[in-house]
Amino acid sequence: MKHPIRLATIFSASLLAAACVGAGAAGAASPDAQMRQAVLTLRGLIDRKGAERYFTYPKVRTVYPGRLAGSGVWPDDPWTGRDMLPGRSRGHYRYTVSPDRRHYRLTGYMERGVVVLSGGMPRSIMRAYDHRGEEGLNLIREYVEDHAARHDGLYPAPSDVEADGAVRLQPERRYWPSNPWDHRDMTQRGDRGSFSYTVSPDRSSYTLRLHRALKDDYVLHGSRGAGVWRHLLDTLEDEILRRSGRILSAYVDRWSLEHSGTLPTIVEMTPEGAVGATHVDWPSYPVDDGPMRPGTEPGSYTYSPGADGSYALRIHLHAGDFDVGGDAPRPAAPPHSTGAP
Amino acid sequence: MTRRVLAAVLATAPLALLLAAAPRVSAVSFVDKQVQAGGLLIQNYIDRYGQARQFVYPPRAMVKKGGGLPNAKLIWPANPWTGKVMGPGTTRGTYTYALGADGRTYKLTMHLSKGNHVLRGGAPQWFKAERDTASRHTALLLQRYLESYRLQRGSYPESLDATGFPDPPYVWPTNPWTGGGVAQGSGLGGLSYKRVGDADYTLRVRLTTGWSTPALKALL
Repeated sequence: MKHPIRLATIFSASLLAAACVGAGAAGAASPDAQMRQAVLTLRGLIDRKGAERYFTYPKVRTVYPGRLAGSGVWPDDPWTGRDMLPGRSRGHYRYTVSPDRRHYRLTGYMERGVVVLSGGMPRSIMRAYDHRGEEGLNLIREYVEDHAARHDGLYPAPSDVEADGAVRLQPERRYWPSNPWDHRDMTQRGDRGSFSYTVSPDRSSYTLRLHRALKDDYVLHGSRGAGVWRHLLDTLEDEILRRSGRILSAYVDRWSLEHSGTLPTIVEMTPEGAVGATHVDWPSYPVDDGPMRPGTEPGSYTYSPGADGSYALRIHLHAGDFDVGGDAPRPAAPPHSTGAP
Repeated sequence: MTRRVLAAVLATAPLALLLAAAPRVSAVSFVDKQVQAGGLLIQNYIDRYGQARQFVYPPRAMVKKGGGLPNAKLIWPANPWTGKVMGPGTTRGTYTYALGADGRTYKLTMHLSKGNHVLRGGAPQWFKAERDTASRHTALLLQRYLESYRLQRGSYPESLDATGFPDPPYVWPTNPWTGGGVAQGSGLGGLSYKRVGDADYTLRVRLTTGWSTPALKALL
């Protein structure tokens, strides 16, 4: 070996070059790129924590190494190689969260500029919550209608439409829908997942309003004439009125038989008239229990005698009219005399 | 003598530098931590995909650079052992992603220089309870609809679907698991409805714990 130092120098340089290449494999990305990756990684930790808590994101002070439960690995500050810390200089981050903690913003400070990430409750979850609220409000509407059907069609007062109100508790305790945003019973408030209920002064109509996250309020209206229970009552009342119509028709027929085929006049065919006087069991209007009277409203009737023994008697129902008129029977003529002794 | 010493020093010094720079036992924790951090970044992409889809996680084919995971185009971790893109595999610096049978859980195994670092994910605990509550809402609302149906038509329907309830314009409940209108079926959030004669029925909804009990029946 004539030149051991020269050879050693060449060998050293080769090894040093190889060392640099090897080290480069592990740290090829620039510090700024590593910082972006670190901030993305931190966002992942924040997202996981938020998802664990009903998409309520962590408080600012908990987004810190060792405080965010479950985060065994914490991203490094690429410039120091230590845990990344809050701050506003290179290698640091700033985390802010909205007052309701449903959204957050994460800023990472690099050598050149910043990287800003934001996150929050997924819209798919909000949409599901909104729909669940709508279903809950529809269930409450059913209870409100049910309550009205048991209280002469009067809709409940606002204080009754609560989880501890009469609408839920009478006649038996019912399941009350919960608010997906706070997991408590739905109640009348102004925040998401809550509702408002207003009723008209005469308690004949109401409005239910759900406060949604992604859309305007979801509104349901109800009135005495539109409820399902109202429909049922109308159906039952109409059936009673049909029977009452047949009874009134029988009274006309009987009057004709007892009066030589003469039909009662319009005035006579009233509860206070001559026909009414002969029938103490005059049909009543089922809503107010008063006697049926001539008129045009549901529960009343229109009577019109004809000249040839026919008459029109129309019962006014909730659903149309019921015609029970016809030809009144005449008394049979006495048998002709044969002249035999 | 001096030359020999100098040559020895020059020969050993870079060797020491090489050993210091290359990943080795004392440096493994540093490089492995990079692998773990890379795993956390991939997990972030997986979680964001799942959270946007009611906690249904991506298929295996998506979990790689260019696989279609949203927001993953710009930054994908590198394998610190090779300097190349971190990808699926079984060697150090790679990962194995396994999806649960129902697509709602996953396991991401990061292969370290020695051993593995496992990251898991899935729907949070509260999620199933929330979905079950929503399913119960659905069944209770349908029970009321069935009563209304009977009041209007005299009997309960043969089957239970949205087309049977057009008037009044009810909100038709959704299956919280699918996001679509609730329907009869044995999947989560599905319904089991059976008419019993003209005056009764049984209605159940599929919860995460099985069919709801007791079955809902006619109210009137």
